[in-house]
Amino acid sequence: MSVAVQVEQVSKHYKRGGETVEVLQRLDLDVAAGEFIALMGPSGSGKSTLLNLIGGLDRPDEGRITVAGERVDSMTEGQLTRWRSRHVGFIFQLYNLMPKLTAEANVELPLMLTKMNSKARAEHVATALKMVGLAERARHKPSELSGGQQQRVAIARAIVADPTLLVCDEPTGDLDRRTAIEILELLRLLNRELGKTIVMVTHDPQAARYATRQLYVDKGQLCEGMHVEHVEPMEAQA
Amino acid sequence: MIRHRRLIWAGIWRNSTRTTYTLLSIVVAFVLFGLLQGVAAAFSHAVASANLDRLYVDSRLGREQLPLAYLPRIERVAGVSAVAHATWFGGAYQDSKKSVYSLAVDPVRYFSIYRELRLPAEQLRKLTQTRDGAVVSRKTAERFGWKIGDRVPLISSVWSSKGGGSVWPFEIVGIFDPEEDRTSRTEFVLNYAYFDEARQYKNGTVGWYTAQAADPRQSTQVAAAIDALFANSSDETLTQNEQEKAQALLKEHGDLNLIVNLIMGAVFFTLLLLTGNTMMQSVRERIPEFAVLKTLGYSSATVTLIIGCEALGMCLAAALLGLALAWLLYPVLQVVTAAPRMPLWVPLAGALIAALLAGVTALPSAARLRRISVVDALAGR
Repeated sequence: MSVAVQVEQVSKHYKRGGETVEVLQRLDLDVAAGEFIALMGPSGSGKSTLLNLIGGLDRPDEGRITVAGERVDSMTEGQLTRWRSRHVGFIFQLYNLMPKLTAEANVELPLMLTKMNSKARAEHVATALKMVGLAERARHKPSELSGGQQQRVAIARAIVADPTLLVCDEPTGDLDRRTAIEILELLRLLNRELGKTIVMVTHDPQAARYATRQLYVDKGQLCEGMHVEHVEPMEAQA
Repeated sequence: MIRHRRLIWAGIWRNSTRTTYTLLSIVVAFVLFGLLQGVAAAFSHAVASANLDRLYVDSRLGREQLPLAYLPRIERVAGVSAVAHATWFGGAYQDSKKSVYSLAVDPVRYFSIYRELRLPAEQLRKLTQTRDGAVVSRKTAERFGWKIGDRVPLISSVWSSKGGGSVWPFEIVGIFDPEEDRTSRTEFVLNYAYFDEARQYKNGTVGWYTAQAADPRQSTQVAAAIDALFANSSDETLTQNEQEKAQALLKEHGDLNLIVNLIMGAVFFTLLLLTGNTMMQSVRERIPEFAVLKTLGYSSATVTLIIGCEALGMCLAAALLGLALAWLLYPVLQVVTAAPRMPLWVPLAGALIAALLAGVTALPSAARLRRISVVDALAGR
């Protein structure tokens, strides 16, 4: 299986109040194409920083990051922006939808950067919304949707441009257990049926069980498979 | 940017109350701009379009009358090709609020100089033959529903007739049409001969003379020659060309352009602060949304354009509405400006100012968005 994401000897530090905080230290990670991995770890462990680096939102201080064969660590800000629009779909904990736009307009946002005409865009949007089970709610605004439905819209937005990689930052962190299961099932479906490579950050060990591989980040280092084996799958508890 | 119209529209109406108040402020500011600049422009146009070869001979003491006997003497001044005289009648129709700008003149002399007041020759002849005849501008006739043959009583705020009354009856014998691009306040023209014979006092005097200079380049010398003729007399004259006269009249009310510019400067400065603050506030509230757009692949340039279009859409739409209202209201000011339409450059300048306003107000917000760290903004830092 080919490698979708390759992180090699990546370090990242931040300046906080005159102090240098080493967030990631010479971290290595390979994610195979079509893999669904969960990144876990305590707050401040560096998992979100790693996710941002993989998603091209930030650049490492040292090391190399290659996604779908392209070096993203050496790209300029403009190149990264263009690269993200083509290769990465983002799913956030708080959905981050545009409140004044309808569900379909929100889903259409990534396609606005392509050369697609309005008819083709509408078809793609309809397909994405149907895939997440929200075809009937296309004309609704986020305020008219439940949390789970908003997250489904966010997932539709993430997949509508057919990205190589889905990057999910605590996608079920703001949802109740039942809705969280629905969202995780949907992610698993995208992974299994459409072959999407997914990197998900979560605090929740039960959510991590939906991934094909669980990784634990602690103090900027990666520890594979720790602490999650004993957790019962969510659907068993719901 | 047409692709992002939904995003731009949603951004403008993100906070509908705030947007509505901002739009109203811009509308009011541009109504004010349209009307004030329109008035100033109309006056400037009147000054600019005034004839340099048309000389006004007034009393040096201001509004004093001049002897009618000056007429042949002015006619004999070298370089003068024609002379007319006029006397302010101070007319009003039915009540003092319905004022009519009326002048008592020698009709043949007057209309031969003021060719822009186009009166058919037949009607001019009728005016000279009818002692209590009068001719009116078409606008005045339409205003009061007058037609040729009507007898209309005009109240004079200045002159009483020998019978003791201030009501003067006239027969409308003609209607004149001022040229479109010329500003003229003259609405009602009556026979001086009839007026002078019937008035109680100051008989044999006129309000002012209008002398036509044969060569406009010589008008300064001609004016000096006229004033020299009556120097050290009991009725000294002050001769100015039409442009100087118009400027002097405007100056009586202060420097209109300066006043307008000061008012508009204050209005636009306030508007700049208000709109700028609205934009800044709107962008500040939406930083996480813009961060999401950048995450999705929207470049800084695209986001800047979206902000610019929001500001432009808001400023331009409100400004155009304000200017349209000013355009509709402008004819009401015709009593002051004597211009039926707002000069076209006023709305064009207004639109340009609105675009500049949008650019200036969007700039700080756009600059701020260029600097934001997507990671920090998404994390709410």
